[in-house]
Amino acid sequence: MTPTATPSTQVEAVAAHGLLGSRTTFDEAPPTDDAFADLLRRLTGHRILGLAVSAASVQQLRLTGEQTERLYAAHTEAMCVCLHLEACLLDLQATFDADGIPMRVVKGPASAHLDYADPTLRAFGDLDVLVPSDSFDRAALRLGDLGFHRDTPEPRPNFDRRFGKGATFIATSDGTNVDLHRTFVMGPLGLQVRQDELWADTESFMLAGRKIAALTAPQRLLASCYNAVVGDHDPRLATLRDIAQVILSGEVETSDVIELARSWQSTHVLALGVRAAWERLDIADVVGLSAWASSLDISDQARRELDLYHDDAAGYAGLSWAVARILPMRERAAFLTALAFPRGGRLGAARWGIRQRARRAVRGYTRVSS
Amino acid sequence: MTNDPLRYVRSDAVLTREVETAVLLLRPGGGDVLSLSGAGTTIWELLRRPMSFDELVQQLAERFHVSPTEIADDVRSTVDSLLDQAMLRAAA
Repeated sequence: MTPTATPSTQVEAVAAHGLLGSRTTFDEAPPTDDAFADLLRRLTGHRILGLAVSAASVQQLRLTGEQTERLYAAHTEAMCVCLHLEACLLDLQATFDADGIPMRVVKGPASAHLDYADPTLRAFGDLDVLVPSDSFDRAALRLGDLGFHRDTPEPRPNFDRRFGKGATFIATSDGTNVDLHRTFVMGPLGLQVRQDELWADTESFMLAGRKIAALTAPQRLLASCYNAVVGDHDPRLATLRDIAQVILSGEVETSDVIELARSWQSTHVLALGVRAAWERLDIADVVGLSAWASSLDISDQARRELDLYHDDAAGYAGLSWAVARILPMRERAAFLTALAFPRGGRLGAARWGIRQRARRAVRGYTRVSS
Repeated sequence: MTNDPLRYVRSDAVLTREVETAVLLLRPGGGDVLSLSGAGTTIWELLRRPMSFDELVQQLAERFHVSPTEIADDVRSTVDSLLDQAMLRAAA
């Protein structure tokens, strides 16, 4: 892969700290107070305060004494949040176990404990847990028992379990956020994740003397790529670091990950996620997976479908049509009916009249199929 | 020397993070994060393996270049506090 030369910033340099082969550089002098305030805000948002502390401890990230104290304080606060979330995770697991609901923890806590030498290097601000589709409704009820309520109601009963990515639950007492997933992403990409493969194996870590089940390393890598490619418009640097961390630590065999991505029809997601990590973190090293990612030819059709995930105007309708196309006939009618006539659901279409919904849907369908 | 026959060790059922100037501890099930600093972090580090109270005091005294009698009361207070909060337990 020919890397794209980009000016490295302090934030990217922190995100790449410790990665052999990254060409990011740090400024030689501490930032001004205003610049540091902005830096601290961005480090916090990108969940990389731990990496910043590590970089500061070896004099790579140059800070004044006062700035260092503020960084330490922010990191300590972030770690307190992580501890509370882990306590919540233990409650969640115990409750799900008691009801026979399998669970895998994904993203932050799993990455922190499985992919980093020290979990203080990887902050997280909420919990993401994956359950099998046929356990989704029971898991939602158990979350209710624990004092959580859904952020938005589902468009129709059983919609999320059958067609959705999942739902967000918020603790009434303290606002703790739990994202309950049945797959990694909404739309056709999510439905193409093979559930039998997803639940066939697990990797675990210990929390307070108890074993917590997580995804395997190839699954974690692919999940991070979904997050980076079809999640937020500007992916968190922690997510890109997670991708690089798993690959460069040798945790995965290139062939295993590619085979998994092929099975889930997401090779383009894997390639784009790896490319994003290599480019943003300015990694010079060419390894098997980065070479494969840079050489993969991604079709225009695949790119258009990915664009829908970031298109606020027509994307939802387009994704809905893409989902409908891959559903079995018996499911398709129920899916489209739920979207067209939601009962108390969140959908943007719920605010529109029938003609508006039809126009939106046709526009999305045309984009996908052109 | 004390007459304390017990040996003490960290409880496994504690969530922890070791940050720059402190060790953060939290028991699952609610409550606040406990922050250990200074000698408290050293006590937590030493009690990674079971140790008698006298041995703990002796090791701390050597680390901080003080006599055991100078620190015994403070160490007792810290250990008792951590026991009360179930961050430590008596080892077999």
